[in-house]
Amino acid sequence: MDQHMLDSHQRDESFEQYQRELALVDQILGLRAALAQEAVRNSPSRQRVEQLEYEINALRRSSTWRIGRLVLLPVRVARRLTGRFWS
Amino acid sequence: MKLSIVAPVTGSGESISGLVESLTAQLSSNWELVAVGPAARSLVGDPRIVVVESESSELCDLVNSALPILTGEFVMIAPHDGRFPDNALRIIGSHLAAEPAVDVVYTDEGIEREGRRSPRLVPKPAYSPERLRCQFYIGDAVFYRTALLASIGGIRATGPGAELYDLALRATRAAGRVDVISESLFMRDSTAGVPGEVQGDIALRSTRTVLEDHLAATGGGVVDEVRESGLHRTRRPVVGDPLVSIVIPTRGGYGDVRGVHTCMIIEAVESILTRSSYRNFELVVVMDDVVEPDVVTALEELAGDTLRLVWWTRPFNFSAKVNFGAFHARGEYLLFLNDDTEVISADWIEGMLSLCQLPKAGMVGAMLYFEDGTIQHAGHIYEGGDAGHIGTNLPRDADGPFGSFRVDREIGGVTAACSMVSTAVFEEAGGFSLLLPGNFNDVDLCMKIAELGYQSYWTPRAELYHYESKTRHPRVSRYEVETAWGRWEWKLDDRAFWPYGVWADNHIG
Repeated sequence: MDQHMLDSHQRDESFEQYQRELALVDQILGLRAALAQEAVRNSPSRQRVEQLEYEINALRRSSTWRIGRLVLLPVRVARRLTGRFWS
Repeated sequence: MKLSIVAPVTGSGESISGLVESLTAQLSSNWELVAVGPAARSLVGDPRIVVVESESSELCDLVNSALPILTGEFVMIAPHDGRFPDNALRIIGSHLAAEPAVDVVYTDEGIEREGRRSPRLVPKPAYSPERLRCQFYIGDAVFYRTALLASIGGIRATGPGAELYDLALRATRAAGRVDVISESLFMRDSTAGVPGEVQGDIALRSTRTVLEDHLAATGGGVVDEVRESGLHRTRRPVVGDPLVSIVIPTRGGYGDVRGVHTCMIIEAVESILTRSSYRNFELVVVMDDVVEPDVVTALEELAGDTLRLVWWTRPFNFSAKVNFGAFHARGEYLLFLNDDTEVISADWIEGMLSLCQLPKAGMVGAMLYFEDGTIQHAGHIYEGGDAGHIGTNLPRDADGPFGSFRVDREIGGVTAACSMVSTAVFEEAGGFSLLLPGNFNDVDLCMKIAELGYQSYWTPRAELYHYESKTRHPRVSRYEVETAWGRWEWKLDDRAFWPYGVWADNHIG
């Protein structure tokens, strides 16, 4: 694999990781919104609240979430400092 | 909750008879009326009125001389021609009793109209400090916590015509919380102008001084122009020289602009490069791999080192494509821009950036026009369970309700066709949702950002054409509707920063 392909592969992987992190945050905020909507519309059943809270906590506990945040921090910093992913 | 009403009386004592009668008719008796001024002496003996005699004709002297004797927890400085509906003080008192953190509360107003039974309603947005530096929209129907007023030294001698604007600016700065009651609880006669109008050169000069003081006390800024209409041109400064990444997704398509077949991305980039006064930006163009090589070459020649060209090789998903651009961006701020746009105002980036740099700022939007010059977008409106654009199809010179198209203002949300957000806030909100590949992704992003506690803004300083077809009916999938409404239907009736109703009938998506 030449250097160009390697860079391209690394860039794709980094974007996938970035996108996954954004998507997880989006899901959590979406679930919170759905929970708030339930509360506004009518008194949600305890079961429904517990279900949504469970989903939020499960996302937060997931290894993708925790590892993703740790992994992406230096990636983000490097990206801004060096412009490494110039295409 | 006892309320004090201070009535400066500089004409005859008779001039406040309407005010006195309306207070006497209140359903709540927990109030006091303090009449102060040279003509107040004629009211001595009326058991409903506390009289403070003063020979001064200056508003600040009159009100400040009344402050020490007030027994109400909140005080309003009432114009002589004002009247309260009979339930007004009960509603205001109940609100203040229920919300002990509130230091300032204002209400909607009504202005009598000659020959008309119904008054002209003056709805007011929720507390909007950035709008307040451009327009004294709060008006006369304001109650201040008496202790707060005393702590800031009462009214200042700013010069005639600007004392109450100055008071509102200083008191809201010092207040713990400022609320609006969205009911018309104060009436003016037909000779009263809309709140904030300025009459005469002296008042204009005083207003300029007041605004300069306010800007200096709140992070800086410039007063470009004060106007009799009350729509003042003030602007916040850009702090530093941060890199702004302008993210433009494109398929490199062509369209007819003013009768000329045009490559949209080239047109957009050329207008950015030639008209923008702010220069520290990069262009992150996210390009589908179907774009003609000639377009790529032209773009590279046009933009040079400013260009950061990234290729999108995946299936269509607007959200993912813009997120891809954000990933490649190096800027502290992201400016999302459709490729079918053309910059008009030179300081469009500064206008958006200066608001984006405010503490807890969310998205910042722009004034967008169709090709024929009519308005396409002046902010989002969320009302009646639906989302739409403010101002659509109105003429370019329209001021909007109570001048709202002429002032920077707080807003619930803005279109992604042209909007700015800090990279940190964008990422904290999870970017554009992949669940909304084509529609409502900007509504969703604004909602998420608001839920995180950030405030969105709209500015008329950033003016662009948006060559979106007036008759375009985008394909909206049932899934997108269910996703967006499943999250946010409960927030799609939000009049907080747009209390004027559906000002133009144009729905998003």
